[in-house]
Amino acid sequence: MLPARKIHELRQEEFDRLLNWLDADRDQAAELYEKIRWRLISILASRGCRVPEELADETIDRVARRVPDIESTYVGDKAIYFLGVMNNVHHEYLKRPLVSPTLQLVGRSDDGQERALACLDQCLEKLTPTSRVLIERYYATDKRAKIDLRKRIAETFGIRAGTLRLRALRIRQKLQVCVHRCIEVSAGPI
Amino acid sequence: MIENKSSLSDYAIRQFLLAQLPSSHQSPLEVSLLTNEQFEQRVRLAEFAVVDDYVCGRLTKSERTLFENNFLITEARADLLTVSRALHQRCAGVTTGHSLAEAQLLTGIRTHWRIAFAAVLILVLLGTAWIGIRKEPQIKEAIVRQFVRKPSQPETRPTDSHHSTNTSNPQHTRESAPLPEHARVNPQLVTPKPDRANAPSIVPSASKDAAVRLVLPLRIDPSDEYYAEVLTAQGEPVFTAKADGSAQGSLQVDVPAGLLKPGEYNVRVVNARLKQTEMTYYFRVQ
Repeated sequence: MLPARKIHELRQEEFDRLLNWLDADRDQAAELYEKIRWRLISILASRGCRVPEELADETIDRVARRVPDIESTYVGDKAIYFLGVMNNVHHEYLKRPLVSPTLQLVGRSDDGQERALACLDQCLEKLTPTSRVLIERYYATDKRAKIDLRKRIAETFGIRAGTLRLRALRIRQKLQVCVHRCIEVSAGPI
Repeated sequence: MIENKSSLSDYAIRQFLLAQLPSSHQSPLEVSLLTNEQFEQRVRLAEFAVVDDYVCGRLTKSERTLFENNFLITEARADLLTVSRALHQRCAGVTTGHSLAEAQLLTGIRTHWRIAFAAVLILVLLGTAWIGIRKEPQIKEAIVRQFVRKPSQPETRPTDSHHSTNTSNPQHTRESAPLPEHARVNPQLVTPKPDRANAPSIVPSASKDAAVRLVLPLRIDPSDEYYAEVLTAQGEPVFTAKADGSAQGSLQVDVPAGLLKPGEYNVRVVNARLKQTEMTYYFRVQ
């Protein structure tokens, strides 16, 4: 087995082959790729890895390089194959000398927060009126007083509190995607 | 601790996100996350929830430390935090009081509608009761009429439209309700005449269950059935019943006295088999 190369060395043809292996439909493949990457990052983070994105990309890089060898013979859920490779990558990472984490993400600059607020306003505008009212009410109050209010909001919308939470989080998910794109656009090309 | 809890519970997911899941639960959860779309969605939503809890101060001190050290280690998660803060800031600043007021307003509106509906319901019930009290005699009369009156003649007779014209088939003749037993015991007798000029007059008893027995002189065929139809002078049907032909040389029919208002009446005797009027008699009520 060839040793994995760094991710930045992954050639376009290798990446294309990976996508093709994931799904013949290009869009479906791209979606599955993003999902697998997110899952790998979540798993690595839950294992206490300080650089989950880096290791996830390393994992994907290795899988992409091995696709020609496995695509005709591999049977089963492809995501599980990624898990096997990721275990190896993580194992190697644990053998490395400990490096202090450099990420400091809790605090964002005022500038960044202002931009996020502006984008949020734009994205709230794009929601349906019902979704907007629901999400605004859901996030309206602070701290522990929320519980009672959410029961009342759920009653107002004629749904159970659990359903309200699920709906609110799904709207929140849409907002997240929208705000993220908005921030990227407003920040301009890197 | 997550003993006795499912490895895929919400609690387990929260522990997974904070990198606190015991190793025995880690592997099944990882496999589920990689292979189960629905579970992946649960984890994604749990991420939003834990970020919201952090922003709102709903995490314990140790959870906050775990969140900052173990969860907040990717750019994507930092974005979640940024948007969550913005969302809380925006919604709290703009709509906290507003949403409460709106919720209260909606609740108030619904309460008002309930009260209005209840009031309308009570009014309808009271109105019905009032009508029942005020119009009781008319209602009673209408009900009695419904039972005793012959229905108006349809343009097409049943035998023309639905039934065979074979005369051996039973004829459809609607009879008025029979009189109560005690009314038949001592009926008031009257013998209507075939000519109007000599029509006898009667004053029916005011008793509720009283009856007037109409004695109708007629030679009848014992094998036939006869019906007596009592009509007002204007031809409005009042009462119809099968006539009793057991008496020699006459038919008899008992009419509830309450149906006979002052005025002229005629009695039409109809042969049920031949469907023809055999004789018409007259009497008056004073």
